[in-house]
Amino acid sequence: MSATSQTIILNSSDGVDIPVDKEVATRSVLIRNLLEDLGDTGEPIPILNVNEAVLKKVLEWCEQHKKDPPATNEDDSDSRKKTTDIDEWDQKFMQVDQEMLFEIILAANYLDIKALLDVGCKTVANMIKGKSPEEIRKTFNIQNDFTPDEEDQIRRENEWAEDR
Amino acid sequence: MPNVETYNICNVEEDFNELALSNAQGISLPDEILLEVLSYVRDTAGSQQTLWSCCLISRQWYSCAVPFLYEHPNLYGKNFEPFAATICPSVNLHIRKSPLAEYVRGLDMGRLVHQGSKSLTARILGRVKGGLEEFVAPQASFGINCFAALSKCSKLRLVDLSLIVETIPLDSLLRCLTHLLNLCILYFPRLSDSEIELELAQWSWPPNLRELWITNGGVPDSFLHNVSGLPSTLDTLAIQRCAKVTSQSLRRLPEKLSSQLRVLRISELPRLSWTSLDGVLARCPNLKQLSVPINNITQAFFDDPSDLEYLEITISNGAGGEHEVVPVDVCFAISDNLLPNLRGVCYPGTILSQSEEFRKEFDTLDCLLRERLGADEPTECTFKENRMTMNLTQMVEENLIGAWQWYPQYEARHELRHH
Repeated sequence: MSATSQTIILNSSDGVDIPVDKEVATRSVLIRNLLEDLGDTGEPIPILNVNEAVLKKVLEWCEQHKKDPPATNEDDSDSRKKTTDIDEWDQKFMQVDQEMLFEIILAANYLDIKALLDVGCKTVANMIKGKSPEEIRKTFNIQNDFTPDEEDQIRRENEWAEDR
Repeated sequence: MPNVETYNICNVEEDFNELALSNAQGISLPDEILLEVLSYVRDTAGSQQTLWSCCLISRQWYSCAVPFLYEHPNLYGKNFEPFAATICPSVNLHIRKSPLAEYVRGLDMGRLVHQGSKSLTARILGRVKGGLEEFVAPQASFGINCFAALSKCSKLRLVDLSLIVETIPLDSLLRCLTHLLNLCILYFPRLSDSEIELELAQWSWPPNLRELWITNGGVPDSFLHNVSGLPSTLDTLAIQRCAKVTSQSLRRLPEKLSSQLRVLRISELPRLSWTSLDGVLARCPNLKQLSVPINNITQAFFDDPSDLEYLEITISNGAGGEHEVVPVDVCFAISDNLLPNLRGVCYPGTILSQSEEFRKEFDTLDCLLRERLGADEPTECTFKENRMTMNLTQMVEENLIGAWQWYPQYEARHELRHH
């Protein structure tokens, strides 16, 4: 790390200190706000909900995207058609096992990194596309908690939407 | 047999949260994130099938996905009956009410031909009235007995009645629509010939109407000069594919209406003549966007100064190659400072391909517009791809500058939900 860039230390949920450029870490709105509130004490900042492996992965993304322009705050999420296009680097970055993918998404949500959360959601959306219920359950390790009667009922009421 | 009411969303969520806590094996996404994921799924091709799958995964996924599935149902004929059975499980509204009906935002019945019936359409409208924002009426199964239900869909923003085969009496139409306070885009139905001369008080329109589209044979000729009482919010008028409309009635469009128009689209009016639309710029002094067929204008069209920003010159599919206006006419109008705000022009590509001369003029026009507005040369990509398929809507949406080729093309009537 260059001498000019300021380094801060993050402490992961499993107790590991991770030094990181301030510029990189502040892609996280949570960390940026913490630094503003607490001032820069040089003390490690505890990241309660994210373990070392996930935090490192998230910081890798932040490093790659540190020069990105800050996200615009327009709340047009519903009016505009959303695209699931993902840039190439991000696509590679997201090629992880399902558990890590969910961990990254949850961490992005907790750390308030909107752009990373979006990439994560798009990745999941792309993985769902065109799949059957059983395939989706398998892909994401989800338990079917319907009773047989409930499942029948849902199949009946949504029959019109099947097969197209 | 379980009833749909058993899927009360709150209970499902609570149950699931308990389950998630006790279930240490896998990580699950919280509802807020799942909803975000599904909002991406919604906008992909084939989303209906995917959302159908999502409803069958688990209780949590069901409660998150089912509103998306019902938001804009893709109805194409053979799936209409099962859809109707879910929305209207019984004739009697109070015996069984489906909570799913409230999720419907856009109901496009435009692809139905013989399915359903007028009374079924009325019943469905009655069930979905709470949330419905966009409605496209079916060709055969819509009649005046649907008006009562339609007038209670108070959130409607867009109503398209243009596909209805049967003619509709104007007075009952207006009586119904005037209740729709949020309605801003209306595609007119075909009117019955007789009743155009209404009493003044009967001309009551939806008070916030912005766009009026008269298409598919829509109106008798007398409608256009008798029309009255349109709200001052109306700034867009389209008259397309109407066999009965004559140049005379276009010229006699009420002055108040002409002067409030900012967007005017005219196409495929077979009774119009060569010169029918000359003078339209003077009659509609506030136009910003105009679409005219090349078969209905001459050089005199450019005589009047105008604040027009976008001009689309079209050519109908069946029309022959004869035309008077060539690209250089637009150049002259710009040089004479008659169109000081003009940004974009579409000109029929089929005419350009007839002569090298026209193409050169067209390129000059393109340079003229770009230079005047300080716009960059188009990139290779926009040049090649967009120029082939440009139209007024696209030019305006993308804020384009320059001259573009126009080809006869299928233009979606409107894209529901993204309108």
